[in-house]
Amino acid sequence: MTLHAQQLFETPLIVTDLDEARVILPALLRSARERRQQAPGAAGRPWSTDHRMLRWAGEPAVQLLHACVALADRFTADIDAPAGRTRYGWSADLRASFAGSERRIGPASFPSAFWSVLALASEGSAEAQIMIEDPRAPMLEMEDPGLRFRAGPGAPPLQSSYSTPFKTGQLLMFPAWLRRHADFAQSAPESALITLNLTAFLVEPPREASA
Amino acid sequence: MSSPEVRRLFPTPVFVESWVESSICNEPLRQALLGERSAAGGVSKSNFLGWQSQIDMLRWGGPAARQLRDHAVELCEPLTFDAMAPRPLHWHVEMWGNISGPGASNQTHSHPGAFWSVVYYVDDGYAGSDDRALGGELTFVDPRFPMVRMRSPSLRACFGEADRDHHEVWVRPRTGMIVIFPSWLQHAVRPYNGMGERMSIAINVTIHADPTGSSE
Repeated sequence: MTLHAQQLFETPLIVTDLDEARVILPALLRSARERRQQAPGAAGRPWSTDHRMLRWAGEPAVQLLHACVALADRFTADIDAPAGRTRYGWSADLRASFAGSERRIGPASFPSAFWSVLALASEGSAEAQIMIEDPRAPMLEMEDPGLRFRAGPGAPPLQSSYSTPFKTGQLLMFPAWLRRHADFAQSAPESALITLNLTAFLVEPPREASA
Repeated sequence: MSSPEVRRLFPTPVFVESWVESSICNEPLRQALLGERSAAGGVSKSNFLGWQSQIDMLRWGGPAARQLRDHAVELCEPLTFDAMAPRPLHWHVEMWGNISGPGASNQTHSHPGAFWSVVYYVDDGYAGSDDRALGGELTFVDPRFPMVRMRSPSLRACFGEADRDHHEVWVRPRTGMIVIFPSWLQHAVRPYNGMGERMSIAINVTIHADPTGSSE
């Protein structure tokens, strides 16, 4: 017997490298630290800037924005658009978050945006662990919490969360409604989780896709 | 920027097979379905205009129905992982028949309480035609819908010209085809527009762990 497997309704996670990361990311970390010094909040608690970082973090934030918009344009289609032209533009918000004593940021989601893009800002290289929740959870485990579906005969069981290492210099892009959190090792040097959310809005007249 | 890597997370698995025993089993299954439709009233659930039997087809379906049951369980077992193993698992099957004439369809529904659901096509009703106007496709609905479309319904994640994010997938049945999918997955049957009769058998596979640890 030949069983043909089809994997339907997957949720995309796009991973790439940020050009000029060694210039952009340390600069964003410094800007975020300066903001925190102005209103540090409670000791040991997670801390985030406001979401208007594009207004006050200068050219490095704009460079990050351009990279994220190019990535979003590449992986987004307007199915009701005239051929080759999209009717949508992007509005963006940008923030930086620092983990507290629990070394965790989130969980969070941004349901008003279309894409979220994450970057890790640090002096030198740093690493975090990003955990993404299956949007169908806990439905998959309701028949019996011990039973899992496989993607094929004998294949590894499908999991209800996805965890991946995330390094300075990488960009992660995924649907903004997806719930996620970031974990940092206790011994890791401080870094900031940069979140850029892209919200789609209709532009008239239709514009050329930029990617 | 380096070439981006696309990771596809949290797939919903659907499986399709052509049952090698269909040439032997289809005629007795057809006779069983026609006999039960004549002998007993059907039920009214998701079926619109079509006939649907009670869920007791294993009682009246004869050896061919039991052979189909055994094959369905044989297919589902290696697709199932038990994180609490070792423990005895009891596989239970409910089976019912469907006969759909012109215009018949099934409304969107799912089968909570079961683990795997299976459809087997005794007769696709197309009489060998590839005409898509005959309809009758099995459709699956994205379990994340409508969340994925709420803010920007026209926008799709896109990975190539023919590789876009869909929130509904259609499967055109073939005689002898088995389709397996998670029971929570919402599905429907589009109106069958042929002049014959579509015959299918539905199976719900339920898996129970015995809290006493008994294998009996």
